[in-house]
Amino acid sequence: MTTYIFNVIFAVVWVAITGSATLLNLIFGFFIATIALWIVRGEMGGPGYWRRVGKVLSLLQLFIKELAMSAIRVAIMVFNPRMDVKPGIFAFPLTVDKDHEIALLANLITLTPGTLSVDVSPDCKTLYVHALDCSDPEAARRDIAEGFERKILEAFR
Amino acid sequence: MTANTITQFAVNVGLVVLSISFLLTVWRVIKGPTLPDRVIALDMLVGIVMGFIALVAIRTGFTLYIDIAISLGLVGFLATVAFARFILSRKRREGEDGSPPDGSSEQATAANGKTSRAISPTALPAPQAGAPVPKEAGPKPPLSKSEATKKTAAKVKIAKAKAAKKVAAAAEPGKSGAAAAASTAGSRPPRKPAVKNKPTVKKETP
Amino acid sequence: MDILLALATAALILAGSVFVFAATLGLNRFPDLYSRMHAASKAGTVGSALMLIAVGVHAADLAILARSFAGFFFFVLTAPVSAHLLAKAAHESGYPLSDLSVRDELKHPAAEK
Repeated sequence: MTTYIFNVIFAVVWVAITGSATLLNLIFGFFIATIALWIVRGEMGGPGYWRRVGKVLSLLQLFIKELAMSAIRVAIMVFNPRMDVKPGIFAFPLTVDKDHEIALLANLITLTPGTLSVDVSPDCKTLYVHALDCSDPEAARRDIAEGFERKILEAFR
Repeated sequence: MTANTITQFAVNVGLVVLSISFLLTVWRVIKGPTLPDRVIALDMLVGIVMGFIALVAIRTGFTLYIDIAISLGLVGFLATVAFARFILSRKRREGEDGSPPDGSSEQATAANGKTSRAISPTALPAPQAGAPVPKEAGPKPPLSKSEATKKTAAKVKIAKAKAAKKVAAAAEPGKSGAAAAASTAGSRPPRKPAVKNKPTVKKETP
Repeated sequence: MDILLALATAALILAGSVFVFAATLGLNRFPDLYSRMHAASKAGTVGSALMLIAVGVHAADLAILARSFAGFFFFVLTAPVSAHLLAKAAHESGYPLSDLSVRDELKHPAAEK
């Protein structure tokens, strides 16, 4: 976490020094700061940060892939002249318990094919998910638990 | 030059498709039986207009339009959030057309010995009786033979729910009336009934 | 090079408009408002976002491309939030699922009434 803060600070410093406050320059500064911090990785932080960066990147990749997949699936379902949907709401028991992780998981679930998170129970233990094809909720629960939830746990723990 | 023609062609096709989509979405705004349906359609309209702006940006070459599209997206997001708060605080009006008929008609159908439309985890709703039977058909309410055959004969196809509702209304014309009225009202554009507590917006902050 | 960019732009525009069209078709064909939310929040979002990227690709300028990507991520990240909020509000204030629904494990007092 501290490494990340250093990274952001370095990027801001880079923007201040080069004197052009564009988004592109900020990204470039962030990139340079990452390289600089990577060079001195032995002195601070340790290897955990870098492994986590990889995990976050793989999470992002999964996110983009699932988004494309879900849009295509919905489009196919809509263009199919015989629309056989079995919508329903199923409960998904959460393993993640931090607020930002639940928010991220809920967002990711909304973008997976055929599922849309509706509500979280007040004690943050259960996520209620609306699915277009709810004929087999067990399989849907398993997909979420073994796909996104595991990735999130890997990325943030 | 040919690169320009390709782009212009794509932009023109995109504009046509977006216009059709726009009209379809407006149709949903007008028709949409409930308030959340309309809000979804309005949200969708914002997305379509963003697409329009992007296409105009490509067509005219003014890339400044991207900023407009982004700010429009922000406004649309805030509007949807505000609408969600409004829906939450307003609660559902009596007599607003939802997919299943509510209140009195539901009780009427239940009293007639037919399946109740309330969704329970196990019981399957009536319209699926004519469809291929799913595996997890729980304790199904008794359905008389003649009714079932009528339903299968009616070829419940794409709009299963709507068709089944109409069939049910047609099969029992002398039914209590409430259900029939509700099902016909479901297929018509909604008109706001004169509800007793219309002007009062219930303020319930959870 | 020009023609490659033009082809990429055209592909993005056409894909985006197909997704938007699918979303509106879904908006009109799905049985209840929760299913409609699927169509609007996924296909619609992806469609509009693809068109935003098309602008960036067409301009062939890195700054504009970066801005269009910023718009893309902004739009893609806010759409699920608004869909989730709308679904929660609708369910909490008692709008029912359609007759086709097979299960509802979330019960609110307002929905049962």
